[in-house]
Amino acid sequence: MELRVEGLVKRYGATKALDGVTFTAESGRILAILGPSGSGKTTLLKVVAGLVAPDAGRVYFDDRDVTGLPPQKRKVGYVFQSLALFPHMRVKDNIAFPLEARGRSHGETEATVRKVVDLTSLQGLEDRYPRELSGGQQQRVALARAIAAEAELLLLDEPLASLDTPLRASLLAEIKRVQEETGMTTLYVTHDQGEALSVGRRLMVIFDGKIEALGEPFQVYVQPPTSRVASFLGFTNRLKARVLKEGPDHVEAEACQGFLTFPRGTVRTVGKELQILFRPDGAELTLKRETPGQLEGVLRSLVFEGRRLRARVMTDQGEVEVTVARPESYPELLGLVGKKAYVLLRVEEALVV
Amino acid sequence: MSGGRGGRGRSWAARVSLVEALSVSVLGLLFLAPLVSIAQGASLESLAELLTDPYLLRVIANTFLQAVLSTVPAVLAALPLAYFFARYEFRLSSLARAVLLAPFFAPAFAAAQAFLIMYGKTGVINTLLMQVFGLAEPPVSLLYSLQAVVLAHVFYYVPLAFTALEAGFASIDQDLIDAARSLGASEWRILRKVMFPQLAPSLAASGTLIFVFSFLTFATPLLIGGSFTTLEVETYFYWSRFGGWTTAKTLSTLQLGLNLIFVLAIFLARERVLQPRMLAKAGGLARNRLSLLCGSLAVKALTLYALLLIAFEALPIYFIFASGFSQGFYLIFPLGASIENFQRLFSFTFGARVTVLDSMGQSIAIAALAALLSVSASLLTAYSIAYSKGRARSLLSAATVAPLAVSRIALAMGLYTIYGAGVLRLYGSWELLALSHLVVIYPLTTRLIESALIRVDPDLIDAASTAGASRLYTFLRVELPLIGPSLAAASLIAFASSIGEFTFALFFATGGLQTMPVSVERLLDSRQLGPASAMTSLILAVIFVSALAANLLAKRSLGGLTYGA
Repeated sequence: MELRVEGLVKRYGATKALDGVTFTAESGRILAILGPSGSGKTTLLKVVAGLVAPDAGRVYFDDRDVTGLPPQKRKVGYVFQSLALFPHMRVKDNIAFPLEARGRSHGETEATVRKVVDLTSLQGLEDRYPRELSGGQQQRVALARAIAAEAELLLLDEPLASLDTPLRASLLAEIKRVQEETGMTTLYVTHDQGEALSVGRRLMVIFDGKIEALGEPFQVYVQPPTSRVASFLGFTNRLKARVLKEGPDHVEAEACQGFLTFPRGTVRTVGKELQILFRPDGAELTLKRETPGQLEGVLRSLVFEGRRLRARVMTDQGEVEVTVARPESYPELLGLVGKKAYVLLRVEEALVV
Repeated sequence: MSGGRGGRGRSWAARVSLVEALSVSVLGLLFLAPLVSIAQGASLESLAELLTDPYLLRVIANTFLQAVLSTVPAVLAALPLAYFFARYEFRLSSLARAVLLAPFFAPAFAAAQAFLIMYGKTGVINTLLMQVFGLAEPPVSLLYSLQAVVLAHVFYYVPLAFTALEAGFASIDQDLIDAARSLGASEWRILRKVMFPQLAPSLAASGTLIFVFSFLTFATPLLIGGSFTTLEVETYFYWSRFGGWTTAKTLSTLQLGLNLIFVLAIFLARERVLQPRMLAKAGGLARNRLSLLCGSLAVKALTLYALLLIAFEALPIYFIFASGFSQGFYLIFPLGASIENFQRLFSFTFGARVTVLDSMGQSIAIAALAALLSVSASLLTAYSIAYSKGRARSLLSAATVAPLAVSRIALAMGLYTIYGAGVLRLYGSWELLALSHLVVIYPLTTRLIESALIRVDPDLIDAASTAGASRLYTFLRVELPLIGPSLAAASLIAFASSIGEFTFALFFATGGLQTMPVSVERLLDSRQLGPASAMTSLILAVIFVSALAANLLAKRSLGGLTYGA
């Protein structure tokens, strides 16, 4: 089923949780929705599920306008951030709940529960109560309950937020597998960029109730359309560069005593000044002047983080953060704190605005 | 992010307002209408008469005086005790707490009766002193005075202040105190600047509640006040007197004006006192094991104080049982145990018609009906409170606690006027008494059920509706099982409250209708102290068992509402 929403607006008092949201979620695919907390992600899911009525806008399931339909009639599977398992029901009764609520026969309910239990690898846990399960198992029960009644649309609200990091990867794979087997159109809400980038075919980024990016995860990651999305996705360094020369293919600019050459295509607007955004891992730290492209500064601090080092370099435009991929150089580099250091930008990974 | 309980669709709103209308009509019919009928029955003439009567003016002044004199010592006495329990751990501490709370659950008439047994002319203290010192006359003469009423109130309300203040101490975060200490604040400054501000709401709330309850006192001055009376008692006397109805109604109307302020005060205090367990979520003070051998003098003094106060609270209750189960007074219970008082009790017939068994049967029937009605009405009301928002919600909440802060004699007269007399002519029926109990029990049960309902995660309701469940289906399959233990606990509390209720029971008693507390009063009136103690022992046993069971159920329901880590 294809989900289409048009111009959704939802106000809570003075704040707009949703501010004109329009998008289409492809049938049978996962759409990841990324945004900081309070950006309106959960409200969006609740409006789509019919739990919250929008102040304006429409929701369509395959061209059917469901905006006025109560949640009971929408055939939506919802995995809540809190999971919302019924604490007084056993696993099998939690999973059977949507089937019984919709008046399915006893035999059909039992068969479906068995099928869903197999699909979500919950065999042997059917008679347990939610409190007797681990976090990952509770998560799978919530997923099982959401898909039990053959919903047309699966809504996942931060499904892995409550789990420990090692468990997340395996459950994420599990969710993807179940989604593929059921072929349900899925909205996957998260504030974790790793999850958002890896879970779906498409990625949507929202801020303050507005969509700021929508596209393939790779595209959004390398070319974030707005500077807010860019900094949310890790483009935390920001420099100004003075334009020296505009060629047909290249733009040459200068920043912090470094000369940078950008391919014409990556520069969106050319004026007297360019804004350069780059990730800490989109540059290298060097101690000697090797090419004219290096930016100059003073090594201010060095933090050992295990697999990499994080260096802060003070340039004449303020601090820049650079990661060093070789942690074994820590003792050597530590001695150079306070000395001159150079930052070599990988121009092709930088964003120029 | 927060859909919360408010943001549901339109069809919900319609259903909720139906529930609201139902619960408002319960309050309107059983609470507001009776009070309005009292105000209608008042007259300006008798108001002028009353306000120039020096005797009555003294009664009004006395009512205020005893309320203030009861409140201040009760709160002050409870403060060190609450600190002691919040600060120190010791074996049997939960038993000590349960014993301490016993008077709180006992009905007011039983507290007064316990005072008779302890401090009366032939009471425990006097008997003991006379035997030990060989005196001919009882040395302690305390009863039938202002002091007796005040002391009985202090005895009765220390546990209430204790629970509120203990919750207050529990809401103080030890980390804050440690932080203040590490920042160099003196202990005195910490007490003043860190602890007191956190405790102040609990102090104010318990003080307010005790003042209001003492002001509205009835059983205590009636039984042990002698010629010292209060407004409630005087109003009741006017009502019982031939031709005194207009005066009684005028006096009540006068009091209802004050009660309005009480309602507001109780509404503001209710979070702290009526449901203190909810607050005890913060870290609380760091607790030390109590060690008397190596503790400082202050700790020893505090421990001694706690023991004395626990004895002051526990002994009167203990001696009700002891004097019910023995002849004469035996300090150590199993010695001299006998069932003679029970034999005498059960052979007693009140007037011509009512036997003790009749009285018990009536009490049980009334309590069962009152429990059933109040839990059903509370469920409706708790629902509309939990699902309404903003001003409607606090208004409903205020209306619900109002019956606690209003003169029961006024309510009783109003209920009589509307339902007892008039078209329905229910006077003398046990159903009318059950209805009157409903009015005053309903605030308690509503609080219990409301707090259970509020703890049900709104996501569960959303989960059920996305799963295709109708509102009714969700209520039956999700909410009802989750709040079930709380409903059971509320029923028990309602039953226990009705069994021990005295004011309405006395007001509506007739030759053929006489609940157990009224029987106790009649027994005391005819100097049958032993059988009276036996009867009260039965009532207290029912109440304490119900309270314990309710407590266990409440704990279970707290655990059952979540499954998280």
